[in-house]
Amino acid sequence: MTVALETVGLGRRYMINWGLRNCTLRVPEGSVAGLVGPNGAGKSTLIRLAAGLSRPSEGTVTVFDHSVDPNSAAFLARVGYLDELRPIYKQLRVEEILKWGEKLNGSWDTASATRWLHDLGIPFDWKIGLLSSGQQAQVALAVCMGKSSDLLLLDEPMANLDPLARQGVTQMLLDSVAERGTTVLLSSHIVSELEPICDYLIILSKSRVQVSATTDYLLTSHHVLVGPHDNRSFDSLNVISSKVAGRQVTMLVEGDPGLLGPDWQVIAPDLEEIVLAYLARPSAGNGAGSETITEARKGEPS
Amino acid sequence: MTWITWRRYRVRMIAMALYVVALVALMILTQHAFQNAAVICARVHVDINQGFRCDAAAGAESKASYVQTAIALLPLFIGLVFGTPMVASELDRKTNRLAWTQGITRTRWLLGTWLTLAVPTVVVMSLFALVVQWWATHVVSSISSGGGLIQPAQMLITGVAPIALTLLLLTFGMFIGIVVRRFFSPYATSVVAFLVVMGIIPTEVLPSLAPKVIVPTSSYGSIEFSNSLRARPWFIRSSYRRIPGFHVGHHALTVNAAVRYCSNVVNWARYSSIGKGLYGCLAAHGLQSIGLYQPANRYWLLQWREAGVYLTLTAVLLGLSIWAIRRWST
Repeated sequence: MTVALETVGLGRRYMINWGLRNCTLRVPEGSVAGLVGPNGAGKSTLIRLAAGLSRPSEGTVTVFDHSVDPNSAAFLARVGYLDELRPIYKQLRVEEILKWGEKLNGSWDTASATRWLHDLGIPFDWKIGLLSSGQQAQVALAVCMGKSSDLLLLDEPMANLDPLARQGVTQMLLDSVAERGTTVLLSSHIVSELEPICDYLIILSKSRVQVSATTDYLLTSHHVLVGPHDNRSFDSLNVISSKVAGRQVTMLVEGDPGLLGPDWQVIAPDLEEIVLAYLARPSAGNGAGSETITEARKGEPS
Repeated sequence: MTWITWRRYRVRMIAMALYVVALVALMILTQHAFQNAAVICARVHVDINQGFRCDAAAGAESKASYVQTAIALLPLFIGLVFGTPMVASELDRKTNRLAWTQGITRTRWLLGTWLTLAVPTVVVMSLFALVVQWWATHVVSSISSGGGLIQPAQMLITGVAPIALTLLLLTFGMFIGIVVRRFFSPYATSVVAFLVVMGIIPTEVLPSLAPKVIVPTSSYGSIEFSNSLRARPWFIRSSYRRIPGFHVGHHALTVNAAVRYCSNVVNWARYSSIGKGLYGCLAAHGLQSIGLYQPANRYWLLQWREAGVYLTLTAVLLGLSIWAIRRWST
C-alpha cells in the first residue's frame, strides 16, 4: 500500500522545549487519519511539519515518498492545509478569496469550494471580516477544499463549527475521499467526531506518538473487563487502565481476554474510551512520564 | 498576487497618492510665492539674485524649506507604509500560513508581492521626480544662497537617486519585517534603519562616488575656484595636505601633529616671515589648507552613481529576503 505521509524519528524543538519528538508513523494513501491528544501534545506541530511550514529539528517527513519541500510547487500542489487559527484575508470578500485561491492553484476546483459555502448559505459578497468566526472558519475550509489536494492536513477543522456544519464537514471529507481518493490527516479533541470518518488513529501525548493504529485494530483488540476485585493476574493482557469501585474492578485491556468465568463481563469499548484510557495512562501509570509510554503501532500498513 | 496586494494596500496607496498630490500643490504654491517675492523685492529695489534679502523672499524661502523636508521624507514614508508591513503584517496575522500553502512557491509569492508595490512606486516616484526637478530648479534659482542642484539638500530630493532610494527603503522595510520579529518592533527598527541610510549615504558615501576636486585655500584659491565656475560647487569639507614637492625631513611633524601645532595661535608669530598666521605656520611644516569640492557639472554623474548604490543594495536585500523567506519555519 502506498504511504501518503511518513515520519521517521521526527522532532521539532522550540528553543529548549520539544514540540514533537521521536515521531514515527505512516498514514496510508486514501485513509482518513485522526490525530488526537491533549493540548500541547504536538498535534499542530506535526501537521505544520507535514505542510512544510515548520522545519524538522531531527528526523524526516515525507509526503508521497518525497521529502517535504515547501519551496517546491509540485509539493505545494499536492498538499492542502488548514491552520488551527484559520488565518484568512479578512478585508477580502468571500468571492474574492475564492478567486485568489483559483489564481494561486492550478488544480483549483471551484465547485468543491463554492458548493460547500452555498450549502451553508454564506453570502459571497460579504467581507470575510464581517462574518462570524464559525463562518470565517468555513470559508477557510472552502479555500482548503478548493485546492483539490491529494493530502489534506486539517488542524481541528471542526472547531468553531455548529453541529450541522460539523456534519457537513464530515460528509464533505468522506465525499472527497470517495471521489478523489484524498488522504486526510485531521486533528481533534473530540474523539466522537472522528469515529465515523477515521480509519486510522494517532494518539499523541507529551510530544510523542503513543498509539498509531487502524481504528479497526483498536476497536477489535481492546476490551473492557468488569469483574470482582480479587487481585486476579492478567499477565497475558496489556492493561491500559484499571478502576476499582468498591469490590468491582473495570479495566481496559489490549489483547484477547479469552474465557474469564461467569463473574466477568467483557464489553466492546468505543473509540473515545480507548483514547481516554491511553491519554490517562502516562500520568496514571508509574509517573515516569513520556519515556515509559509504549508505542503501539499495530495494524499499520506493511 | 497583484490583485490581492492591491486590495490589501488600496487605502494606503490612495493616502500616499494624496500626500504626493499635496506635495505637488505645495510646490506650485511655493513657486508662486517665490515669483511674488521677486516682484515685491524688485519694487523695493532689492534684487534677490544679488545676495541681498527682503522679508518677502525670506518668507518664501522658509515655506520652501518645509516642502523640501516633506519631499525628502517621502521615501521614508513609502518604506514604512508599504515596505515594512509587506511581510511583517502577514507574519503577524499568520496569513503567511495560508499563502505559503497555496500552489505557488514562497519565492514567487514574495517577488509577486514586491513587484506589485515596487512597480507603481517607481512609476509614481519617477513622475514625481520630474515635478520636483522643475520645482527645485526654479526655486533654487530664486534663492541666492541655494547654490544649484549639486548642494546636499537638493541632491537629496532631485534627480534619479530619490527614485532608487525609495525602492531601497521599500525593500529594506520588507527585509526588516522578515528578520526583526521577536524583540523589536519592525516599524521602529525601520525608522532607525531608514534614517541611518538616508543620513550616511548622501553625506558619507555620495561625495566619494566621483574624485573630489581639491583646491588650496591658503591663497584664497577656493574663492577663485568658485568664481571660475558658472554654478556654485558642492563644498564637501576642508582639510590639509602636504604641499606637492615639499621635502619631508626626519624630524618633520606628521600632518595631524602639524595641524594641531599650528592651530595654537601662540605658535603663529614664529612663522610670520613665511606667511600670515595659520597659513604661515602650515606652510613652514609643508602643509596647505585645502577645500574638497564636487563641481556642479558632476550632478548627473553623482546622481546615477548614487542611484547605482541604492539599486545594488536593493538587489542584495531582495536576495536576502528571498533566502530568509525560503528558510522560514514556524
